[in-house]
Amino acid sequence: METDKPMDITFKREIYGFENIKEYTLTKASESADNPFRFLKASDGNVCFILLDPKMIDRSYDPVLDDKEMKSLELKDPADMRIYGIVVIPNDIKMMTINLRSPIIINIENGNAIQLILEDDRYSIRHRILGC
Amino acid sequence: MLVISRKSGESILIGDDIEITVIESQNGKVKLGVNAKKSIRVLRKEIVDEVTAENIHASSKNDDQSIEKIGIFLNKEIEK
Repeated sequence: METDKPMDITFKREIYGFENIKEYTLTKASESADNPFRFLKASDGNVCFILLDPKMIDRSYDPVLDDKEMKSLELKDPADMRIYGIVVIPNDIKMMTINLRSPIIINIENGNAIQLILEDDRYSIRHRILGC
Repeated sequence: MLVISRKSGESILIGDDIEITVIESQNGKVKLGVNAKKSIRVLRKEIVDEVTAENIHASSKNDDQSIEKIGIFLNKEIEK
């Protein structure tokens, strides 16, 4: 997979709450091929997010981007689009959640990224990853 | 802040592309209709605030290495 190599990411619309950080690096969270997590690390080294492909949780997950968002990604080929949800892992890992409401969208061809907020109420900000 | 009074059925225009209409107003609750191009995302502000708070909650200062065990565990759970 092309996303397995560390990749420089530039946010065209920053992560909400982190408007001062545009540059990140996307990496695998560990060497193991069985570890689906990715790290999104700020280039200044002080902030890190854990990401997961939401399709692992919900196969039908298919966020819709508007024209402006498509333009900011400069996506030439839809196959270059990667979608990730930000994960929260509490001490009790069974309670871990993924944010399906506001996914991170990355164009792996040029590293452009945005955080979306979907209008769709079906998607939760704290979706339990492991069933109830 | 610009303050404008509107009755039900009346609208305001923001720029050339956005029209906001008061559909009805009852018991302190106002129902608004937004007419805008598809390229403009209309969001309730509290959702943006909630996402911001969750992002801050989700961020950590370092890339915790215990993540490998959790990732492999998750991978197995999902395959089940």
